[in-house]
Amino acid sequence: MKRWPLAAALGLLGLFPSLSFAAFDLKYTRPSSFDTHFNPGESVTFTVTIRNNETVARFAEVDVTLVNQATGAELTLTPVITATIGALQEVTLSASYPTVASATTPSTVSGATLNIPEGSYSVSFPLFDENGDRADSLRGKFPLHVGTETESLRVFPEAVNLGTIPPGRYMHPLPIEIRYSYFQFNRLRQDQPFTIRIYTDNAARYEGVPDALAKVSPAGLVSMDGRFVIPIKCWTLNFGPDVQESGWDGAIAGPPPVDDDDLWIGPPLLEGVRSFGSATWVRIPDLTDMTPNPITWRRLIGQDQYDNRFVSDANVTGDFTLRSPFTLYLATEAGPTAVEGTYAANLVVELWSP
Amino acid sequence: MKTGLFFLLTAFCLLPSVFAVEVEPTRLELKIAPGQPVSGELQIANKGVKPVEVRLSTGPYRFLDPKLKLPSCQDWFRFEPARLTLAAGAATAVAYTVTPPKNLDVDTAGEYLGAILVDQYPADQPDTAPAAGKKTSAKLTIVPRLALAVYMMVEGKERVEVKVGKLTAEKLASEGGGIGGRAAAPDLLKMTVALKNLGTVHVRPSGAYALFQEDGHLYHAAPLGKSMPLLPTGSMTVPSLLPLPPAGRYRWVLTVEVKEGTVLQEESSFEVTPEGDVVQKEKKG
Repeated sequence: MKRWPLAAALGLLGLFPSLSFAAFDLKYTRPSSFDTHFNPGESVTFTVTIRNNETVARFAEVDVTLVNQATGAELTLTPVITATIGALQEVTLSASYPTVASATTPSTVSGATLNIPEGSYSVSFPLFDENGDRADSLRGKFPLHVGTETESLRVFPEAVNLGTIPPGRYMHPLPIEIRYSYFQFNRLRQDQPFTIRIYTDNAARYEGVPDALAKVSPAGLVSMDGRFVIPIKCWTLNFGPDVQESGWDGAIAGPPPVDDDDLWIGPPLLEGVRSFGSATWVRIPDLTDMTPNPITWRRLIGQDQYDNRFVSDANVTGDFTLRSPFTLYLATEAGPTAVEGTYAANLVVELWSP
Repeated sequence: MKTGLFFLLTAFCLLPSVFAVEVEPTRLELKIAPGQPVSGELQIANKGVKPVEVRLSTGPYRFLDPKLKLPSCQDWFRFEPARLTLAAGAATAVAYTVTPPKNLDVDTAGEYLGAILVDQYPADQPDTAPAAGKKTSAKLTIVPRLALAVYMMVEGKERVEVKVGKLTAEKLASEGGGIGGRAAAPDLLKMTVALKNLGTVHVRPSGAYALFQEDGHLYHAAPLGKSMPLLPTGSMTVPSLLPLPPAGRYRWVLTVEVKEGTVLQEESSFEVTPEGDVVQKEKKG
């Protein structure tokens, strides 16, 4: 007797599949398609392709959903994309939405919106069936950027008195804030590559020791008589291996200690050699040390989707950007051969885009 | 005590920056003739809240493949003024004159490269002189520098010629995935095109590719290109990734616009086997 209600319920589900919880078999069959860079006032067109694997026609709704990468606010663009797709048919759907300047619409509010305010957004395309059940989902390959072209660079403070330099390694506690703004795109509406690199420009200051067998690099602080140098190292969040490898989480703990050889010189390898390229504190070169080959540069941050130089197990896309502003720390190493005196240098932070 | 000082200094540095200079245009692409000066203007604006001293100079082109030997135009520039002070919120125009040498036509190069350097210094330099009487003291001047790329094309010697090399299609197997119950990442199809600049001036190639199924239906189309310039005698590869399509034969048609009105087209074909491998079909002839 007690089995009847269960059997009736199962029978109803068989007769009316829409009462079941599983969504209908609607699937995306292609990657989404949309351009990624726009000026306010232009329209963004999103295109998706859906296949109805059911044997009857089904209604499909695609909600183009944007998440502001700075504020986390989620926006669903309206009107949503809808269609009734025939049995075992595939359709390609497109919709365009205008972009607006950020002053027009508050970008921190979540909800439905008719247009896209200025900002940077991750894009996803949840697909719903006629019951409102999620049938599939798709993510945009690259974020969507809406903004006005800009290219500027600020550094604070602009001049630093390092005071008395102690012997040995010493991190100067004064953080240097680098604030940049870069938004340029090409006619394919892809990001224009750029890099911010750091170097000293001491060629005019440095002479070296008279009659020395070889001149050392002028990178670092140069004595007022132009004869001696004290090297400078720097650190930002981009430098050094990740926390699993180095044991130091810079995002939480800040600049790494300078007295740890693994972080200052590089982790040890076999036979007493060290992996100098994996040091967390990195040397700042001089302009004269660098060539046009970027491998000789000290890049603080950079952007180029085709540059694989920074790809690693922990950074599969090779991302080498940091959100503006980011912080730079400097450290000196006055070794046993350092000479007493007063020192100075021009430290250049350069933004370059081809 | 040291920790307190550290946080105090950190808080001090989180104050808004006091100056920021913007320059328009952000790169120069000019045509020049031997011995004939070319003039123009750079618009420089101080978007900060304090006055700034701007110094203009030139330098070598920044980003080059070491194998490329391209001549420089860095010594041809003159700025008027080369040093100026801009009040907060002020903007001004700096005139530049480029004077190429008269014997330029003797050279075979069609393009000369360089960089305009726009340096920013605080107008009221704080006293950062090294402390007197201290044993070893130091001061550091930090200079934000915008480096604007310069491309000078010699009139009559600009020749645009780009060769589209081999089109290759290969499978990129996904690594791992499935962590924490998440679906494993799909295998990818990597399509690569090699371009070589046989001309005398740089180009910024762009275009599109279309992937057709065996029955002629369009499977996928997308823009293709890089923002980096393809410099004379240089080469570049442009990759494109998409999820591995279902098994079947595909025709890949690539259209590249090397400059306005000059379009190149190449095609290739490949097969995705039922096992999920990608087999490139060799071009006949």
